[in-house]
Amino acid sequence: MTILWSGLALGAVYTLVAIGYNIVFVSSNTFNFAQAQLMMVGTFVAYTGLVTLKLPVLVVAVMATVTVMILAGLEEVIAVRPVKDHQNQLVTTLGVATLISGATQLIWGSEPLTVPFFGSNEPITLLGGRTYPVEIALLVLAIVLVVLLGQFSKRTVTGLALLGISEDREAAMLRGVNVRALALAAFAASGALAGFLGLFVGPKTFAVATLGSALAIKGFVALAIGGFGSLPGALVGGLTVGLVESYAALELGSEYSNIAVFVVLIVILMVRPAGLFGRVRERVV
Amino acid sequence: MKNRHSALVAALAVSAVALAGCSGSSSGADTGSDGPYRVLVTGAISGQGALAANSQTSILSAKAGVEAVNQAGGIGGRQVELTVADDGGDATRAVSNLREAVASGKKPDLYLNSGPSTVSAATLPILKQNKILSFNIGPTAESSDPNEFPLNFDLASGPDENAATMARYIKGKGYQSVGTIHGSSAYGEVFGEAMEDALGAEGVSSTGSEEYDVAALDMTAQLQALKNKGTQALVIDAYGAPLGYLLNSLQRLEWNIPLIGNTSVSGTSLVSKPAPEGVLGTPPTANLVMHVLSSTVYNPDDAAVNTMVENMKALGDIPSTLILADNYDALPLVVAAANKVGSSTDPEALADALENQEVLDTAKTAFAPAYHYTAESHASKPGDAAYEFVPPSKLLNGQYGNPAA
Amino acid sequence: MQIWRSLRAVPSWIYPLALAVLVLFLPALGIDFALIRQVQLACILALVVSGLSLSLGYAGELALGQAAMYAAGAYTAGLMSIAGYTDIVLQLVAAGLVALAVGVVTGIPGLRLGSWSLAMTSFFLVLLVPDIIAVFGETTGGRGGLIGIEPATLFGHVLDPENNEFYLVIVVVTIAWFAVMRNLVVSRHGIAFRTLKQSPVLASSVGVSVFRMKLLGYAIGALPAGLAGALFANIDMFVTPEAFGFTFATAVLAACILGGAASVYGALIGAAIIQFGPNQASDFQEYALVFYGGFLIVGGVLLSGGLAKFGKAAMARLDRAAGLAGTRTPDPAADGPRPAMDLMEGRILVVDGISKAFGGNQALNNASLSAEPGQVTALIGPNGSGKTTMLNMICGFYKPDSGRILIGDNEVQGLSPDRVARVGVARTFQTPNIPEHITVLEAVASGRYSTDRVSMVATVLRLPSYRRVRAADLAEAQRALEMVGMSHLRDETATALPLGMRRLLEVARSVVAEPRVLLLDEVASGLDENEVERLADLIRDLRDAGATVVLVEHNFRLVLELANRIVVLAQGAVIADGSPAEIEQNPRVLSEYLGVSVEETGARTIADEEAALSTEVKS
Repeated sequence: MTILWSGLALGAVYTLVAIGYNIVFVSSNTFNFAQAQLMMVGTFVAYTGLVTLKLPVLVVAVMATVTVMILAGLEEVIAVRPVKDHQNQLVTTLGVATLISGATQLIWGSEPLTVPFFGSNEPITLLGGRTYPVEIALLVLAIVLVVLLGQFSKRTVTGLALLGISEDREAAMLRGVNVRALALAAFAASGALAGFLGLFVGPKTFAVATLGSALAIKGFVALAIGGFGSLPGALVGGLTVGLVESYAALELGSEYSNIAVFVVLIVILMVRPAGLFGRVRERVV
Repeated sequence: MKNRHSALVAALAVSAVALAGCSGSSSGADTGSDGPYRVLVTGAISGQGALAANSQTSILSAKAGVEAVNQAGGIGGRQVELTVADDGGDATRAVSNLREAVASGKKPDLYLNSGPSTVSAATLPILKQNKILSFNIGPTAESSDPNEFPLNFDLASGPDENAATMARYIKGKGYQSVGTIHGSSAYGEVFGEAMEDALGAEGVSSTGSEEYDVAALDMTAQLQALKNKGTQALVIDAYGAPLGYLLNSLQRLEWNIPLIGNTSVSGTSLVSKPAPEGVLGTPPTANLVMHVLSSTVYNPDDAAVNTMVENMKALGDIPSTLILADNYDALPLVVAAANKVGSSTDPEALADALENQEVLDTAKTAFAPAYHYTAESHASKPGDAAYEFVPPSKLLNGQYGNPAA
Repeated sequence: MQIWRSLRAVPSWIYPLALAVLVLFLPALGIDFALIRQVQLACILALVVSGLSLSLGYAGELALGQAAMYAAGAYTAGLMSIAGYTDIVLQLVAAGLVALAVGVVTGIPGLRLGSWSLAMTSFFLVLLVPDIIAVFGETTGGRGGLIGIEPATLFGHVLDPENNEFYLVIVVVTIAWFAVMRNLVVSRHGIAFRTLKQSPVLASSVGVSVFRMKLLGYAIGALPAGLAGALFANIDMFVTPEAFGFTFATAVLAACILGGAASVYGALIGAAIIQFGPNQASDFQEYALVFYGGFLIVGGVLLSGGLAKFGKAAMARLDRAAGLAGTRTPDPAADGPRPAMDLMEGRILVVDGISKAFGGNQALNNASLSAEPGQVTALIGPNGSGKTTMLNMICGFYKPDSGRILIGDNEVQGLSPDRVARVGVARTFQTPNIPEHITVLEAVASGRYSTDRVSMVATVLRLPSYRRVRAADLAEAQRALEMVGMSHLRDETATALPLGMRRLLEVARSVVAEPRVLLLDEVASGLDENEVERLADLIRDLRDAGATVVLVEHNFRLVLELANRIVVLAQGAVIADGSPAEIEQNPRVLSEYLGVSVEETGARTIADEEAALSTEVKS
């Protein structure tokens, strides 16, 4: 049961990364390679705020949210907007990801840093398994975000506008939707979310410069399994990856856990290329 | 057009090969007994994480050893000249630097490294080819075999020896059903196997060896597997961040058993820093003892070690633990060998001398109290007296257990 | 300027060759060891980067798994050496084949996905390399690395590092690979890759199987990485999994982007910069990632095309200043009489009861038509009536919900577009779709890619079969250009032409493929009167030569002039089908198309209405 909680919490982290990917994907049809790195910056800012500066939790939360939000906004303006075709956007967002990884290492060093959880750091017993409060919090957060954002996109005008942009950018522009502003806003929002989540993810993963690439790939797998653009899909995909990773490590050995995730990814993509909940587009020409 | 093109290239290639054959190699200038004794030490100055700090300690110890020997008159009257090379922890770069040094005409007389074992594995064949005497702190499967590498001597104990020492300690404490958890690094894997064998040799029952990926964030699965098999005491191999994750996972399982950390654990800075930067003082570390050398523990009565610390401090701050200070002993060992041989220019003669226990006993070493090289094995085998098992504490000048820390 | 002119008079491949010879002779010039080693590492890096250039720059696929194929090549060569096979040629061949296999196997799932998924999946592959090596730890030495590699030999002679013999091997292999790559890229296969990158839709419409071509690009890109791996294993006689991680993969991508992905020599430039620049500073390691990240951002935003593109632009400027630019005497009248057209074997096209719905929108509703060889069949109708959908259906871009489509005796409904193209269907597009950076002549010749084939091996080696096909390509393309009156523009950059010329170019490209059925989609819009005349003559020639021409047009006068038969679509259904005279009088067509009711017009025809309309507009 302990393994189950561990796997689910890990999966929740991947889901949160995938949610970030989704927000940006839906609004600018771009895949932001640097999403996981932004979340990593959030964990470092949380560390600095809570440990180095010893500030109260709420202040740190605001600090993290604002810092990463600005970073994400900068990314959109410098690396995404000026680049026209998607292929080059892949390259530039990958560049941002690499830059952030390198800069983090320079600023905070490459040793892992412990980020305390503002709740309790003591393990608890739940349903026969041992887990930490932060793990439960992560799981709950992931589910709540999926539900909330799902409602937001269907019920509010902004949400519908975002959906419209993802369907057909030009049509949306013609209908008076300010595509550029919304794209920037969505990027900034995904950054703000990533920053805020740093307070939750940090205690689970430690703040360490190698966190970005690990999360980036597993987060992508969560997205691919669930389907690009689908929030429930991100949840299912993320939890799947977390569980596969944990159980493969338990049953087969640690070197097989990445291989197992890769195999699951390939199988699902061969059977359903658009992911479990994604939709295949019809019009081609 | 292409036919001409390719014919032209072929003709050029052939003539180039012929020409190159004429260029010949630059032979290393013969180091007369007047020139300085050249030492090249390589380390990951620009490396990642724990590696950088540990390399810097290793290089600092080499510098201190050279200083001490030069103050006492050098090697047979020759002053020692130390060059530092940065390999960034990357075996390819280490090889590159070494090749360059050899080709430069100022071939080193002695080569020292700062680990890890991949650097040793890559550089040993080149050292052998060029007949350069070397001391190694990153043991590999063959580095202590005189048949393979007659001019190399291991300063640090290899995983086999470390495991044997730990097994004896465990036997002494009376533990049974001992499990091992190790990382997927080169050292970790060999250590895991060696540990199981060593426990068996001591007659201690083993519940198996689990491996975790060094990039993983969570080891609960592996620990759970060991717990299920009834493990009563746990041997830990962890270097860097994984130690933190491992201890977290232990706490999560609420598993309070004796923990014995190997030299990777004692070389991790996390263990000497209090929370929140590190794990010192947290509940899981209450059960932890670490395998260290005696020189890594503060002892006000040990003059040789304290002198070593003074010498190192004079040259710079000691960034990590003295477990990495092996290179301090390299020069004293060479001095002892040179005194026996009467000169310092023949590496093979020096190597012969180093296999002689009388010579080794005269060496003024500090890092380890004694070395036991033989014609059959170039492993250091300092003996159990050289080791201690201590709980974690704050570091002062690279040593644990200093009340002033 | 005179210097520049004489420099340019020499064939351009001489310069890279001269540089290569210089590099080959470096050791004999007494250059020190450090530089020699850097050159070796730069060559190896350039090989890996060139593989990425091929997949990224030419085939348009961001496949980042080069590091995995590099690792495969290195371990293959290392294991062979340990097993006793130290001959370097043998190792190179084996390493190349293994890397190729890895490339194909990992390419197949990757290429079924979109470009982002391919990028991430291939990056994942890089992450897996240490794990796979650990799983096979017994053979590969696991994380400790592979030791015990013996020095390489060449036909029994041990390659002596003292004499820099291995250096020569590395440089020769690099030269050979870049020669191969250059020959491939400037040939029709290179054009085909570029077409694929520009638009997979366009590629399939000229008969290129998109999946097969992408896989080929990906696989060929794997080959140099394997060669590089074999060389790497032998340079230090030591292979460790740490050499193949993220930092290396990012360095490869940075080098590719910096040097220019869509250029043969860009890989060399990028690799040289990365190897000799940042890699030199030993404290660079701390800043490595920041630098690479910066390069990628700057490269992606500003330098799209990399330094190689800057180089080409600078060369073009100097050319213009020296008066070497292509002669610009666009004098269409000077283009002699139109060449006679070969007989075309048109086939009858039958569309039988096709229906297609997109979501809730019924685009075609039980529509049928047939087009005979030697006739021009026009398809007209208001916007949204389903004309383009009908064309796309015939070409194979959509599958019909019901009904059949036949070309001659072949049923083609549901076939993939490239297979339909190979049955003999050629089409133009409403918005001309032409790859960048190629000349008009090359663009037209690309239409022959699947009708007259030559293997890549023959192309690279410039065998006689290749020369024959190339000569045919040029001759046929020239003729097609003469037919549309554009042969004076043959050396211009195709995408620099105005819209009307690009339309005609597309027609020329379709004609050169000797199609059985020719579909022209709104080809007259945007052309001036002369061009429309030229086009009409061309269509008449095609018709007379026996082709089956289907013309989708809004220009009703042109339709009346040319068509033997007119089919009228409205709201997805065929509402009229007959000769021009019949259609002109058809009341339903009048009301649907012109919105004019019969009572008002009486005996007036559509042409009359149009004339009246245009008089109104002019006044």
